[in-house]
Amino acid sequence: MNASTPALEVTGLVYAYKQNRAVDGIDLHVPQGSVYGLLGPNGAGKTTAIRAITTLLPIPPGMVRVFGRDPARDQMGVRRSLGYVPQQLSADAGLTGRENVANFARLFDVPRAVRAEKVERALDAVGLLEVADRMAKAYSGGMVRRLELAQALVSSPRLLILDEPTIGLDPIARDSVWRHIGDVRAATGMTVLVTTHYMDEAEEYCDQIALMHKGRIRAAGTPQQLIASLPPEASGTSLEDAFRYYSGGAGLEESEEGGDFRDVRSTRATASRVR
Amino acid sequence: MTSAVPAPPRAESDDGAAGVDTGTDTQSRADADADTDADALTAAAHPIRTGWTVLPARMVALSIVELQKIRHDRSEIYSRAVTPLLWLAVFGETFTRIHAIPTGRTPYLAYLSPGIIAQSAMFIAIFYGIQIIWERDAGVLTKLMVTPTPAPPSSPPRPSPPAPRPWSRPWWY
Repeated sequence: MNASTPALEVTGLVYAYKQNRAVDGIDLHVPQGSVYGLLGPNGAGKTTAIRAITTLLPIPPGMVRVFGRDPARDQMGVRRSLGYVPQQLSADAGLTGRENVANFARLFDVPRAVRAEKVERALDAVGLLEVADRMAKAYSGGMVRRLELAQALVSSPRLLILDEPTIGLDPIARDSVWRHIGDVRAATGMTVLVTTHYMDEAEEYCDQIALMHKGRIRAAGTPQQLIASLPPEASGTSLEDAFRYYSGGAGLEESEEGGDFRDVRSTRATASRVR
Repeated sequence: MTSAVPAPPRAESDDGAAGVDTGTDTQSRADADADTDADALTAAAHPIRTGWTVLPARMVALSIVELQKIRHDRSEIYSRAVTPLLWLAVFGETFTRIHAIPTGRTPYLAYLSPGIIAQSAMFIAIFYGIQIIWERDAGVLTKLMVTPTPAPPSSPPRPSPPAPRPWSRPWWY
């Protein structure tokens, strides 16, 4: 495999829900082995972009490439290289942790001979091996998120996509989730694409960040570059200042709250389930 | 924009759709890369199932999930079994006594049983259909849809409906 091939390349991605252009021509270049953060306020188009990349939305050929594969032409090939943790809770509460992970191994055609070992490794990587045979409904919020991470890891994905993986978690659980993501990434060198609303997380864990607003990318670069790019009148010293600046226009008074009723309902439902 | 350096905020303009058409160079380069990368992906961690075996394998995998759930919570088996028995006991016995429907020499319970079994199967199917809606809401379905599980073949395209007739003219006219 060509090491220079980007893990993800997005060129002029556009997606509209009827008249509303949720994603309005974004370009992304995610190098292999990096942690890439996609940030933006509610309704910025992050989740729509993720859904297009993960083959959940129909898009024309040529807009997205995952390790050189086009989801519009080779849907199954792209899915095999992805590990995806959606914003909503996706672990099955009626199964044990081990069964949850083993079922995903089965869906990704992990051979029976190595399946048990791979499941053990995935659970071990997220620190759930000791409680693997407990029912998932008995897990805490952080443990459920880590279980979902194990589900995504069991197929040895090359691109891990996390849509707000720490939503609704307390700071300790958030740290734990990120620590395990970092460990897995260090061990496997996989590429991670993550969306989050927590600027401290993005600043600490992401190598590169793209700031989205109203379906477009307003700025991209390392967290330090984004902070340094703020004009003197913005007087910002943190990524949160950069976020406010780029997603709010010239000043806070011009910014508007994004997201619709569905976004709020989905976010609150997820937050209440992980509590 | 994909530059590695931060860029100032762009003013709202109507150039958002400029990137819809991808350049030919980008396309051909990506196609060339895809060939080499496809091999690398195929040779990844484990052999990949292809062809007609994929769909049956996924059906088995998803059936195992349901069986595992039933194993953990057997109350569902009991409740599903009790319902038809209740129907047979209550309605079967009642109608046997009042002879509401003439069944000839066939015992009334034997006459009623196939219908009760069919009804129970239909109720279970409806219940599991509703469960898929719940799973879609919960995110389970979203995650399943990103696994290499092909969608079942879509139904054949329906013929387009006839053009509406003028309101003053009834459809049979």
